[in-house]
Amino acid sequence: MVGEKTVDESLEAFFSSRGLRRILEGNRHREGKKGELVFTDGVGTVYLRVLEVNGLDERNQLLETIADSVEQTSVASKVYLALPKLCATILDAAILREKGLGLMVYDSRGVEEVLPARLFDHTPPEPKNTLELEQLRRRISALEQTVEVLNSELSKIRSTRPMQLNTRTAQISAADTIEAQKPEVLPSFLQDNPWVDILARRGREVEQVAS
Amino acid sequence: MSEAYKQGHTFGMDFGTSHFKFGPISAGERPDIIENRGYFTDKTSVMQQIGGPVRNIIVGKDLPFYLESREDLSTRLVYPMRNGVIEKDNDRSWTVVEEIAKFALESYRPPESEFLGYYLVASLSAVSPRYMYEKLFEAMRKIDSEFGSIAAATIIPQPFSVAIAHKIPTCVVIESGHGNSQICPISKYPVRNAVVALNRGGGDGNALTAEILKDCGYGDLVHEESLVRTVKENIGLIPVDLDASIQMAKNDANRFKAAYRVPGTRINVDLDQNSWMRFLIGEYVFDPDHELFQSYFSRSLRKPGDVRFGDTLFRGMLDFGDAIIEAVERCPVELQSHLYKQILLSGGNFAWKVPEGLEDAAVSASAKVRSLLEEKGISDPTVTIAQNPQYSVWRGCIIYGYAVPVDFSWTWERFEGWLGFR
Repeated sequence: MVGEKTVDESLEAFFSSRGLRRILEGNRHREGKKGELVFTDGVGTVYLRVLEVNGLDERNQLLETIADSVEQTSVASKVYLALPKLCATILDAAILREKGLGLMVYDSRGVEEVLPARLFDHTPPEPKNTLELEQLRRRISALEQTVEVLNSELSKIRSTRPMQLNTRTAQISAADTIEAQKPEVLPSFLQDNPWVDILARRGREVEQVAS
Repeated sequence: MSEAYKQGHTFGMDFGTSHFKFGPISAGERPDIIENRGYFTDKTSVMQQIGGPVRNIIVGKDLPFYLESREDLSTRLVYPMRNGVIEKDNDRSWTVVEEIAKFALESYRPPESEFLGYYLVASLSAVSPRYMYEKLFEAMRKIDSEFGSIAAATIIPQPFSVAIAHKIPTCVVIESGHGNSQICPISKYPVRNAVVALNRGGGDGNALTAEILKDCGYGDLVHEESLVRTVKENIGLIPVDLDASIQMAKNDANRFKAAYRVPGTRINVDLDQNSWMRFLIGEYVFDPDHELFQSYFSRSLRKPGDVRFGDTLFRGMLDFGDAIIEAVERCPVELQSHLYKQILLSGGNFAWKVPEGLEDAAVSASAKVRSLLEEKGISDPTVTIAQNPQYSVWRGCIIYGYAVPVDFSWTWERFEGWLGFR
């Protein structure tokens, strides 16, 4: 089996042959944990996690590595696991396929891609038709203006209505009274209600008695 | 503030036992309605922590979405006006009242920048003690200091609102809700010293219906009060004369058959040979003193007792006829005959059916009250049932706010006028 440096070099050579270069530091998505390698083709990034045989001694190490790698699919275009060929046989590739992870295996003879990784596209969607978008913007703007006008009209109606109601009790001519008591303006319970006059005298009864 | 501004910004609130009706004058014929209740959220629950910070108390139409376990409902779901009166130190109920009032006012906050607050008219039970007025005014003051939404406020009794909405200046209003009933004579003002209160309402009719259901083998249904109430409304009848109506039903069980299938379920209630018991339900609401009810009292039915809230004594066993006479006889003699000519029944407890073909044995609520009064020597009383009883209190509030002059200040002598907070 090859050593760590040799595995890294073999993987770097593999991805270089496909037009990718390794990112060492200073990038948004750079290598951090032990065994992490990151490559880029200038547009997307490929994240690779290398595991050794002795790295699998610890309980749940493989599971944790897979979980970590799945997390990387939210930022990287492709995510690979690189395992010793011997260990790869115990892994069910269907699980990796379902999660979109790729699998690389290595031994003393070199590296091999046994399961290609799924491409995760993280670039924001470009507007397909800017003209259509512009038209939609204009229509929304027109709708907003209409809502503003309607709101303003509603406020006017709300403030006008009580004034119309108020005319009912005012001392005005009979013809005007009939005009002011339009049924569409007055709620039925306010029409011809003797209480309106009784209540309107509240606080004035004493003065009336005194005079 | 001008009269015109007040008339345009009158806001009504009816704190009913089950429902809260609210809205400004611009709402038209009908107010908005929500259940008069609040739900205190469980801050420690996992769901609350996952969902992020929430309010301490939820009111309004969205309340059902916040309900958690059924076990918690009895402690967390609070109906503040269930009995018409809130105890002075019942902080949870007063918190709900404040939150509901706040919710109502903010639901109708006008968009205009010149809004200076509503002229708020709230309506409470006629038997509300003074401290309830003080507590409600205090809640309004707090709301105004926080939101600036109340220019001035006033509180009027519910029967007074009903009389105003029905355009009758001199009358007796009987308001009967879930927990109690109020008999209030009105002659341009509510005659406060003449108010008679009964510790009896629709809830008592439900309780007797539950006992009847148990006796007829439907004991498993009685734990859901809403179901019991539905059964009561669909099988209960007011008898013309209890003994005679029962005898007729026993002689012809088919004609008086009391059966009801609950819509959308497999529940079918059939009193069968005990269908005569449907007359007990209606009679109990109007006169619980008949000897037939003694056997229920001796078992598990709670006998309506006399209780005192504040300064008011709520009578348990007084029938509606005696209660009206007692209230009217506390008024000046020359007013009494006018009061008997206008008796107005309001509230859900008076909505009773008379099925076609049973008119010889069953009567409406107004006919029953008329008959109770005539039995006691009152000749030719006029009893009517309020139209749109759900909305009439709110409508009365709107008319009151619209008409009472803006400069008529609140007075504790008459319990009328506007109380400003600024």
